[in-house]
Amino acid sequence: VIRVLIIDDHEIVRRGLKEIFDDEFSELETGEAQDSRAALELITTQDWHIVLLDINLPGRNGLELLSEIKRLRPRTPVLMVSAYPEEEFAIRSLKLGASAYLNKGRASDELLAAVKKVLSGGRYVTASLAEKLAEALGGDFQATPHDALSSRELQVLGMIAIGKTIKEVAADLSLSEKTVSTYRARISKKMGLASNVEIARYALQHGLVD
Amino acid sequence: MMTTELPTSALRPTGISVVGDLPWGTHFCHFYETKQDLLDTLVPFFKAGLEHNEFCLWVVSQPLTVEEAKRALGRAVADLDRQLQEGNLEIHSHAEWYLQDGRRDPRRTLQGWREKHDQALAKGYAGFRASGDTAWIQHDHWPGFHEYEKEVSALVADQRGIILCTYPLTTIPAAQIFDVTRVHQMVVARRHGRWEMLETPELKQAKAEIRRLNEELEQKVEARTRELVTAYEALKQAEDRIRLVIDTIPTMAWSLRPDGVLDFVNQRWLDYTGLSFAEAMADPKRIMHPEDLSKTTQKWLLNMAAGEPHEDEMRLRRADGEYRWFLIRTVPLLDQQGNIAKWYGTCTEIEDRKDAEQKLRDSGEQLRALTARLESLREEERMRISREIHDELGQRLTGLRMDLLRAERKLEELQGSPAVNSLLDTLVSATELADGLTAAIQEIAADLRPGVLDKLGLGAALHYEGRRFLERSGISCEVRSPETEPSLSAEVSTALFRIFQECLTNIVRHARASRVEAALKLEDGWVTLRVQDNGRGITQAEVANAESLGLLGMKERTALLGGEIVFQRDPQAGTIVTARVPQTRTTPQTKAPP
Repeated sequence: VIRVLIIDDHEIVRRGLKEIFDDEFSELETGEAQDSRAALELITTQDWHIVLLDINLPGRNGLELLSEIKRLRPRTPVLMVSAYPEEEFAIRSLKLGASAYLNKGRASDELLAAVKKVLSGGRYVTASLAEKLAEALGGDFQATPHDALSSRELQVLGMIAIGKTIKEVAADLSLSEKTVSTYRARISKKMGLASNVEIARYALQHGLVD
Repeated sequence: MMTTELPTSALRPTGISVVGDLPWGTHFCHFYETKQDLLDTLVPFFKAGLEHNEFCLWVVSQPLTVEEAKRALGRAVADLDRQLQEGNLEIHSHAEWYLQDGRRDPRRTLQGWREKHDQALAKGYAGFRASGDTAWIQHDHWPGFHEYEKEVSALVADQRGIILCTYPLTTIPAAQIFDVTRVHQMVVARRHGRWEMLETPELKQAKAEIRRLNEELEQKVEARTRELVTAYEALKQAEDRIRLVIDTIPTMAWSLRPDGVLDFVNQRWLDYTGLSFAEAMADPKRIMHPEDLSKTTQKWLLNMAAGEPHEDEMRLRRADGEYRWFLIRTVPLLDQQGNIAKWYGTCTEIEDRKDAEQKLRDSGEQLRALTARLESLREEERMRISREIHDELGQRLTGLRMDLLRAERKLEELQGSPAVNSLLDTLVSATELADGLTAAIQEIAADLRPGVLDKLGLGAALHYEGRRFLERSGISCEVRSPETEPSLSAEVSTALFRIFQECLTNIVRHARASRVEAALKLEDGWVTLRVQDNGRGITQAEVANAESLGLLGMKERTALLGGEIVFQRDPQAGTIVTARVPQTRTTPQTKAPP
């Protein structure tokens, strides 16, 4: 059983996050809190495998709460889930002891990849942030980029890696070219790979193609 | 009482009643019959000399002796002994005076007269009075006498001296009387107690001339006096007219003596102050405001001492007790020698101007306070809207995107059917749309007021803004800030952040720079933000340009926080903007954003 505590003041976000976990884990217990006071109550009274924490909270903000959680439960991994895309937040969070910094909008696959990495004791940031954070914090944040891909995106990556065009991929998958282009863009963004050549090289290196 | 300062033409009393006064330089002679005749003349002659501070020299000859002369003179002059003792008078016998080893020596005698004359003047006597007698001369030995007497005349001419030569009528031959008469300017005779007088033509002429000159002088004095009286009256009339004019002008006016003492104020002055003329003269300062008194007095004393026009502003008390502001001007009137003859002062009421100045200051301050208030309200509003967009809109959009992505995954699992795939296409497109929307509103929120500034602080916000600047403009922007975020009030953070943004805007618009360096520093309770670019550099004209609202805004922001901002041109190239404000300061006008 995995015990996850979700701290966010928006119900729609808490529900969205919870559904992602529900889809992935069969044995799951979730707790929810919408402010720092409620969160600290749950932290001190119960044990959690992972804490998802929003920066933007009423009252004491998420960063202050992060420090408090790490003081109370230094071994419980805290995964920051924020709507702020700015890297300044990521840097501050990781300095304060967060195990990962995720953009809320990207949840789902990336979130699951991050959770898996964090549960195994590592720290996670998106590929685009990893390099900058290494500069700023001096640690190793290298994720395995393709962990953040959905199975469909992984499938498209493989096809592009063997030289298929967008049009061919669209035809193979009975999808519109526009949809395939979107997949292609998401892959680039999640993995920090710009060209088809880079994508092909990555796929070969990681045994994603035969 | 005669003094040495008088001109040589001044008349001297001879003491001889029939002669009266004679001018300096007179060489005259006296004929006598008896010893008493001789004394009748010489005793008053020397008495007059002693009384008028002249050095007297009396050379006696037969029939008179030195002792007889002293006795006779002593009867007329009470303090003769003292006079002799002080050397005011010398009496010599002819032998002492005229003879050298029993022989005549006219040259030496003349020299003697000259020396006595010069000594008398050197010692401070009014002049020199002498008498000599030639009765001792054997009249058959006359040769050279004529020349001698001429020399004596020349000796006293134009000098402060009077010489009287006496001759005994009894022993002198008739022909020689004519000779003697000719060489003297005047002849007086005393015979048996009766006077007779002969004047030479020259003397008559000189006397007439003196009379004429005297009359002329009197006429001139009279004419000049008339002129002066006329001029004085004209002046007085003019002054009366001026005072009348001064009294009728609607401005307060006054005059002061050269030493600064008030000697006139006009009617308007009296009307305004409600004082009487006497009260005004007695203490004119009583109408000055006590607070202005020492400053204005000091300034006036300085200008008065320098003789320079004086100008000042001060409050003067009106009759009803109200003080009103006046501009005072006092100027010196110079006489022909350039000395100050008078000071004239006027003043103009400037109450309205002072009032307007005060109102302008007040309205300037109000405007500044209003601007500050508006700016602070605007900032609060930006923060509120930024949060609203980010929290409400942004979070809901995030929830929407999560739902859409989940739907995508679910549909992807139902592979194969064209209908499902078509639905998937629609869903992916919708997700992308939500993605774009999210990015747009995050941008808008950050533009209004970046969350970094409120959540993380000024240092992080400067880094963030610098990165956004690079993305937008392509100009690199390196930001340095303290390792730990400094604790600053929201006002200080906001002001410095906005100044930083304004600098970046200016750099894009004007600087033509390729690189920007910014540094945030904390020192001795002051926060300093320094922004430097490598562009063309701001000019003095641009700094001074009052219409540059951007610079004005930055100045206002720092001034409100009790700080300052400096715009400089870097010696190499580029512009340096340095803003400096106290680390902790809250101003009452601006409410800190929550």
